[in-house]
Amino acid sequence: MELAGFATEQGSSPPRHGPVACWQFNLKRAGAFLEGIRAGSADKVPDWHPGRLDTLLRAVQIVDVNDEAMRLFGLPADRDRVLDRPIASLWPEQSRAALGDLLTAMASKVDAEPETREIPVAGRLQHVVLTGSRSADPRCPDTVFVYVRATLNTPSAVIELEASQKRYRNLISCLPIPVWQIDARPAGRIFDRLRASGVADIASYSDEHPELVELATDIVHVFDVNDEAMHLFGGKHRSEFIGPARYLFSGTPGAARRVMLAHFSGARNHVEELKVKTFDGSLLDVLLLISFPVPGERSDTTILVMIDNSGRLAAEAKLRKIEADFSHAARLSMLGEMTTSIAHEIKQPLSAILMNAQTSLRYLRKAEPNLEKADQLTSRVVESAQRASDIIGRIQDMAGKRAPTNALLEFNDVVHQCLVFLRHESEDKNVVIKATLEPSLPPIQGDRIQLQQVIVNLIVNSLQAMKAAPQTRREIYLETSLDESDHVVFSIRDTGTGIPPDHIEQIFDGFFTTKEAGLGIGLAICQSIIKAHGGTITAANHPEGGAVFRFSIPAEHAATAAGIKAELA
Amino acid sequence: MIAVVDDDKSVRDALAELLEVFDFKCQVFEGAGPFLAAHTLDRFDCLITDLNMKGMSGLQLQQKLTSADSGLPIIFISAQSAPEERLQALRSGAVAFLSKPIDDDVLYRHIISALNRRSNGSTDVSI
Repeated sequence: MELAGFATEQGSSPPRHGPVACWQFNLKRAGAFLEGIRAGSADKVPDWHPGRLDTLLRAVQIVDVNDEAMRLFGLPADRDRVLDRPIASLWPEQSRAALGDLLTAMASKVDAEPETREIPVAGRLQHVVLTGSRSADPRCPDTVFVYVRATLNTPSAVIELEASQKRYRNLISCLPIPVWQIDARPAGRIFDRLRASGVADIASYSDEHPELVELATDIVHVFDVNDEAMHLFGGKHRSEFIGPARYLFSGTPGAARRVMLAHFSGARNHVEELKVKTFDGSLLDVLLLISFPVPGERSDTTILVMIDNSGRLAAEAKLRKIEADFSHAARLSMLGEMTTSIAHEIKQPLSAILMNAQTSLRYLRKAEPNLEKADQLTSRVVESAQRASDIIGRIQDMAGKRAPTNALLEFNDVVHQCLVFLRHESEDKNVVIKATLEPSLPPIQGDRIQLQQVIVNLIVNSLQAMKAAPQTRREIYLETSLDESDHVVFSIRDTGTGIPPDHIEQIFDGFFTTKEAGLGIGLAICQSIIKAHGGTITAANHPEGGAVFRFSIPAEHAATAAGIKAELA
Repeated sequence: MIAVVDDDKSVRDALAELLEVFDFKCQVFEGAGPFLAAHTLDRFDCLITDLNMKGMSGLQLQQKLTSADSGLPIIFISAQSAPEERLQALRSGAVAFLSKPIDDDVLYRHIISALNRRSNGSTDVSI
């Protein structure tokens, strides 16, 4: 191309992609004009009238530019909009006079020595040096090269910073989530002073000085919000959002304090679910994410993002209700399968009550009433009545429809209560249950009835699986233990026929059943209950025969860390 | 002497008290095993046994006794309606099959008839 000509014509010509900007001009149309100026100014620097300068530059035609010139002068990427055009519209305002001088001086020169002009500052460029030289080729008397060096103040860094700031502003304002920009430096300065005076435990310090939180919410300022934030809070004007950050935390007591503690601790991020009070006074569930600046970043901008959680929470509540309904249906179905043994279990104490009461009456109706016997027998009536009442209570617990609770539980107690519940069912089916309970298990967090439902369901399944097994080998092995990841483990193994291999995959699917009377939701419900407790459940066959079901749920401290509380609440 | 076999302590004790107020002598056992261990021919005049028990059931006990003590009258008591077991028990010669809870007068009448059968049976044997 044309610029390749630079190299052949001029040994010192810059490479096309080099750091020196280079323009090639044709001065033919400006020749007469330059001649006039030269004649008029007589060796002194012409006083450039803007009109004259413009006339000159409109006559100077661009023949070619290199890439560096395009970048430095911010020329259109399309070369057709540059080449063969006059320089007037593309040359920056601040250095037009210098270019005019340079071209004028060159027109009056007879030698081929280069001419230079320096400009201290031109826009964002500093120490700009223009060097002009004529073409060495005598066939091209009107061709002039102008090199532009801007030696200082790394112009690309400034341009890129400006571009980056613009991108950042666009990003924030276009983000489809509500964003607040906050200047939290005033609080940071207070924290620095507190640290300097020896305060390390900000939590207890703020308990003693609750006014610190109040102060922090007043001195930390919101300086910008995006449209989504305005929409979320129902504000009309940005000005309503600019000012102390206090309004962000007014819907949840304690939120401001937690944010302050996070800021003090030097954390990168703070995340919590909370309720915010919007401008019409209603409370909204949101997920709050705050990103504090860390050393090395601009300290004046803390980014606060809120994600509207109300839809998700409503969907979760609905899902929990459906799950509760299903697990209730599964419990009823399970109890239905156990009616025979339940009736049997209640009839025992009732039977004892009736006989003891009748015997007691006979003693009282004797010619000489035996009060001592009557007293003894009546006490037994009370005992048996209590027992009957306990049994009915347990069944009511199982049959009742209730919202899941979340309590601290001794897992072995939960298992033991299941064994009591199923005593008759297992005796009735001539199955021996051998339980090995690890005595020192940590407590777990969860819903007692739901966990009992899982365990009872697994035992009932095992009992039913052994209908076909020979009488001599009807055994169930229960075990509780603690695994290496601090999960409480329950496992049950029977000596039945095991799970057909092609069923193992689907065994936890809803409505998968091999039982004629079964609803097929038992194991699916078991799985969803265990999942809600942050655990897992698996099914397998034992190498020596029979099925093995195993579930594990995190011990209490592990459960808290995993946020299971929130899941079950 | 009447033998009572039931694995539920409260029922077992209540039966013993009821038999005592009727002026019957009785001995209680918590399962078929301990009863069979204590059993000798003619030691007991009547057996009252639960149908469903851990280990050996009432029906299995009845089968054992058909060879060991065929004349021993048996009264079954059960917390379940169990029509099949009832039929089997009565076919195998049980005096009665009573469902829990048991009425004292009903039990008394069946014990009397059982004891009568035992004494009649003994007469038959002695003839």
